[in-house]
Amino acid sequence: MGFDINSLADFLAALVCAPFLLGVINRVKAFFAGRRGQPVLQLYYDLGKLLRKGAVYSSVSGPVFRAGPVIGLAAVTGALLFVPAGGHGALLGFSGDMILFAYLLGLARFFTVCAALDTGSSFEGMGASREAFFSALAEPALFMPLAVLAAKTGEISLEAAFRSSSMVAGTPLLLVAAALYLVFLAENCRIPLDDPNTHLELTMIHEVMALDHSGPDFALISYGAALKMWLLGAILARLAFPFGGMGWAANAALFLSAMLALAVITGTVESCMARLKMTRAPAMLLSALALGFAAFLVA
Amino acid sequence: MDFLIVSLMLSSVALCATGRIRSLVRIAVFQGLILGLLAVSRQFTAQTAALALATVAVKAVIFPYILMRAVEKAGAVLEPRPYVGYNPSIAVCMAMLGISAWIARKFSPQAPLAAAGAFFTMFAGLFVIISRRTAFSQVIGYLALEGGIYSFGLSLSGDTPAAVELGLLLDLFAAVFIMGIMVYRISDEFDHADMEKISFLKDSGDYD
Repeated sequence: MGFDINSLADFLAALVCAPFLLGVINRVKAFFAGRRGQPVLQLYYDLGKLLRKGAVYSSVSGPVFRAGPVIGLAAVTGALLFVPAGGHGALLGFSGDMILFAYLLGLARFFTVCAALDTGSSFEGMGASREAFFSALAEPALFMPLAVLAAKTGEISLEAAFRSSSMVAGTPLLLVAAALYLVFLAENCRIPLDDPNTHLELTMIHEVMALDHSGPDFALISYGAALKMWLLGAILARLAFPFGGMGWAANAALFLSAMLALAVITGTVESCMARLKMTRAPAMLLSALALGFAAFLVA
Repeated sequence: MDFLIVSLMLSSVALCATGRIRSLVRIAVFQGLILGLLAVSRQFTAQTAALALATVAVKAVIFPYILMRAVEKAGAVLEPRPYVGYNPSIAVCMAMLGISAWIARKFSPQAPLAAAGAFFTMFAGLFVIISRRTAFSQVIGYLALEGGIYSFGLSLSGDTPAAVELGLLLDLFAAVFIMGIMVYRISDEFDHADMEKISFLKDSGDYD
């Protein structure tokens, strides 16, 4: 596969624009609550501030705690390499990269969980346990739509599957997109499953694992979360819109407006829904799996 | 067509995944509408239109009305302690989806998806009947079961005599009418519609 300068531009754009998405979601939520809300670029300021600070390490935590955020961000960035954004190809692609993509996200999660356990805090242990449980359900829910794509196109590479002419369409596409959107909400700790704004450790799932990280470490975690949101969103946008056969500018404009629309939809969903009870949360992921399963039958 | 069948399937999954009686009734309404649309989706003639109209009238208007009245009089809101919880129910649904797809492929290879949707709706209805406690949920499970049979008839042969379909509908109407009255009476008499407790109402001897 040839090297494409457009793909590199997409990759760099993702690295730069990812935190912007969270800003848009927060603004939409603020709009629904009747507030003006924080600046759209708030996460950039936060990241800048955190990076200038020093990190504090507890004496009981070991090297795993320090490695967690770094490996987490590296794995997510690695996964981003395989995502074809807009109408272009991915930066990297080979047969089977779908599986590597899913497990790079898994690796990031594994190290986040390990780092949380390494602190020795009971709250973080609780969060780690929840994260491990929910991600065990989210993983098949992510794999099912990918499996539908693979079965339909006969390609097990994200890049090739999206390039293929026999992409899913019609009803199965709707099901796959719905399943992936539920996974998108779950993986990014958005409201029906987790509440990113909660201040009560007992109700946290993902946030609680980052409580003991400070300074640059916390910046890496926040930035990694934003990147993860961007890359799952990019897959959704690519599914929803038929890119290709367009000029560079039209392509970029359509892609960015799709991402913006996704952020607005997510903000709206979060404003209109209550969070699920913790015991009902698996139902959401299982429903995503059922949607994927139905898509598999139809496609 | 595909879209309708998938909607039917997913609403059956939702039927297994919720315990709010109002939502269950709402899902039953939705399924009634889908079944009506299914009847006219293959060919639109006066006959199928009449069948669709009758289906929607009975399944999406009359039944929910009867059920809702009984539910409101009994003051039932939530299914208490189902035998199979809601999260495991969704997992069971996925197993049933797989099984019905397998059966459908054997049974009617010309329209596997329609048959799979029909089988799955039947299974889901049966599952709701056996896994829930209150009579309300069980009546709705029965409705879903019947809806599955109905859509199976539609998928297998588009030209089932309308008289047969209408006869079935009438039968069902009588059944649900009686069930509605019974559920109302039961909850009136015993302050609940929990079928487990009803089954202990027999002559003493076995349990003493």
